[in-house]
Amino acid sequence: MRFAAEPLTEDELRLRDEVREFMAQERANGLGVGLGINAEADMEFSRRVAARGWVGMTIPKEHGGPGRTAVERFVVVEEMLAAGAPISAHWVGDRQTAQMFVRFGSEEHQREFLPRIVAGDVWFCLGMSEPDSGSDLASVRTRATRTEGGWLLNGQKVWTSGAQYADYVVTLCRTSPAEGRKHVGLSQLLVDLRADGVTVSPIRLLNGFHHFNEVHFDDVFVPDSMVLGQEGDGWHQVTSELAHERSGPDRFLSVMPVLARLYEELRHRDLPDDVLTSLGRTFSTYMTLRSMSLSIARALDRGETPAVEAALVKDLGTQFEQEAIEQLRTLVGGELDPTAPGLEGLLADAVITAPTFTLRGGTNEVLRTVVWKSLQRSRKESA
Amino acid sequence: MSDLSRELFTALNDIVTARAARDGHEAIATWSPDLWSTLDDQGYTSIDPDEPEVGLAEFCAVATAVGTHALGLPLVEAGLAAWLASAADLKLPAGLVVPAVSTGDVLTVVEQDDDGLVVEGTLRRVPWARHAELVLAFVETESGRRLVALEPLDVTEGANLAGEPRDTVTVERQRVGAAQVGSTEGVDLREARARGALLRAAAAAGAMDTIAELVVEYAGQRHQFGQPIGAFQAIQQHVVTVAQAAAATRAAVESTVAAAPDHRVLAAASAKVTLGIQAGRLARSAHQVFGAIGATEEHRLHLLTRRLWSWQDEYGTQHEWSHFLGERLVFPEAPGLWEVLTPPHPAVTARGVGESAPW
Repeated sequence: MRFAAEPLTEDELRLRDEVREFMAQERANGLGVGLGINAEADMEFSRRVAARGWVGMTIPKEHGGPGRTAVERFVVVEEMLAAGAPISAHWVGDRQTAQMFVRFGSEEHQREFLPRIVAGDVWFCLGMSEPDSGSDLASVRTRATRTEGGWLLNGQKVWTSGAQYADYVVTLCRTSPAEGRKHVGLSQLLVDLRADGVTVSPIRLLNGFHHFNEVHFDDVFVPDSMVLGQEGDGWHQVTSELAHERSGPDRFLSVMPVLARLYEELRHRDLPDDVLTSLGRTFSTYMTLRSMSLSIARALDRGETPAVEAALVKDLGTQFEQEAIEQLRTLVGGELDPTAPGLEGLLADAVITAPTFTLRGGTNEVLRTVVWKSLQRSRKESA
Repeated sequence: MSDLSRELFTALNDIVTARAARDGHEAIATWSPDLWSTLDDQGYTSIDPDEPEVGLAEFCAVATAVGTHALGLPLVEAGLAAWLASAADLKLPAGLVVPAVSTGDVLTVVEQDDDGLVVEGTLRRVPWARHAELVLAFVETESGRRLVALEPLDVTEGANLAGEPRDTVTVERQRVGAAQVGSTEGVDLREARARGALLRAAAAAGAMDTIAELVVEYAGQRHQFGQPIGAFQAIQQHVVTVAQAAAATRAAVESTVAAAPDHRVLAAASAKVTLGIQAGRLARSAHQVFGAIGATEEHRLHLLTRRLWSWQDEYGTQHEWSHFLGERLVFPEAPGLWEVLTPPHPAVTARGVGESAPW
């Protein structure tokens, strides 16, 4: 496993400065600060980001996208996350669904959806987990059966972020029997969340936040044209996007907006040595994780799929986020009021939601099994 | 990595691998005049930092090869000394020269005249001083700190946790000729130690890679309860912790090599802190996978883990470099936390986090 370090180029640094200016303007106009991808969705904000050409950035020009690199997307995303921008609305489409359409989508899908993603005109969410399928995703039981001109979909999804406002849920479901091989016979369907038979109800997070939903499908008709790519190719599609899902700055920057606020207070003070040391240690880890994450973006640009490296970064990054919150708690000291404005409220939110950081995107423990298998494979290959 | 650094690593790796196969890993982990002279003949002890194609990457490649094999020879030290001497415009004779900068000890001037200096002081934890012709140390003079080259006359032997020589050199009213005093334009002590810290992290990344290989192999082969222990999720967690720690340390090293000279001391500090965080995690998990056999003298693992325990503290502990990062990056005129963590930024450069004498 290599994480070759290539710093940002002059052009990439210029893009970074543009995003910084944009975010400064947004803040001046009263945009609030949230915690990474946990931040509340703000469609208007997402449209303004899209208007700058920063949604669906890696969609190639021939598909109506800006045709920019994974690293350029990395630059935009990390600046937004560090600033605590509300990126949730366009997040799924930008990070995953666009890649799916580019790699697996039919010409019709590419023509219809990709320009709309770029324009900030369509929002997606992911229908993966089910009540009985969490880490063991391939055991999904949501099923689509053949009918005239399409499919009838039945089943239930949970932890569906953003289903309350999204237009489509990209639904992993069984379209043919497993016959002993559970990774076979799965497909992804693009399901219109406003179709008959779709019911969305909130699953409130422990802090009362409405981020997740359960989605019920009751004889929902899905036309043939809404099967993503090849029928039966669902598992391959889902797993091939893992490097995109797991390696990004969202895996270590959730806490940055809180730390940055604290920093604004601390930098004017004469700090004791132990505080400086504790901060310095955290800074160092940010720098290392960022370098690893950036190197994955570079690898994506070279056409590689560094899924195992991504799993490692996700694991390290989310563990670190939890440690950073502990450190912030120590530095702030005292009791926290979740209703307090500014730093205190944000930190309170971070403290009680931090245990979920190591869950989303695949639990760290399961990811380690994935990494282990890959290490074993490469050892056998080299032997 | 540059092509030259890859070539250097591969060639050195081949020589040392062959030697380890012949004599055993234990044998190459301690001082061997024979192997030293082989490496000397082939030029690994005298890589010239003034050659245009030689840079940080090349010296890091040598350090990584040293770590990969737990090679008990002062190749890293010879390289660091060569760079220090070149930056301070000191001409060094042939023979082993080692830097005495790990602990930050500085000599004092007792007398000064046109012929040179008379200096005194104590230099602690000097690597391989007992085998060295000369040591390089900083001395505090009226016109600032200078680098001097002096013969180690009074050497008290000591060791690090891996048994590598870390000696105390006592300097009593020792005359240093003018030719042995470096220019004032050279590097400062912080920068010299940052360079040492980076090379330790590079060596540690090599040792960590070897440990990761050993751990993956063992967990796949060792059977308990009727299956390879790697089949157990609990063991998988440890194995992956090892791989993770190695990857993070290597990434921090490579990121320093790639950093702009303006921010390189900052990046090196970060690499050393990363080593400090990861070394313990890795060593604990690796020993846990190997069980009792991995904690024996006959097993190769300790040659590597004992070095990690030492190297993480040499050229500045995790604590010291963390403090440096905190102190340099928290300041009233800062543009913001995110901006200072993602150099380049002129406000950060102005804090003196770069190097004055590039490799």
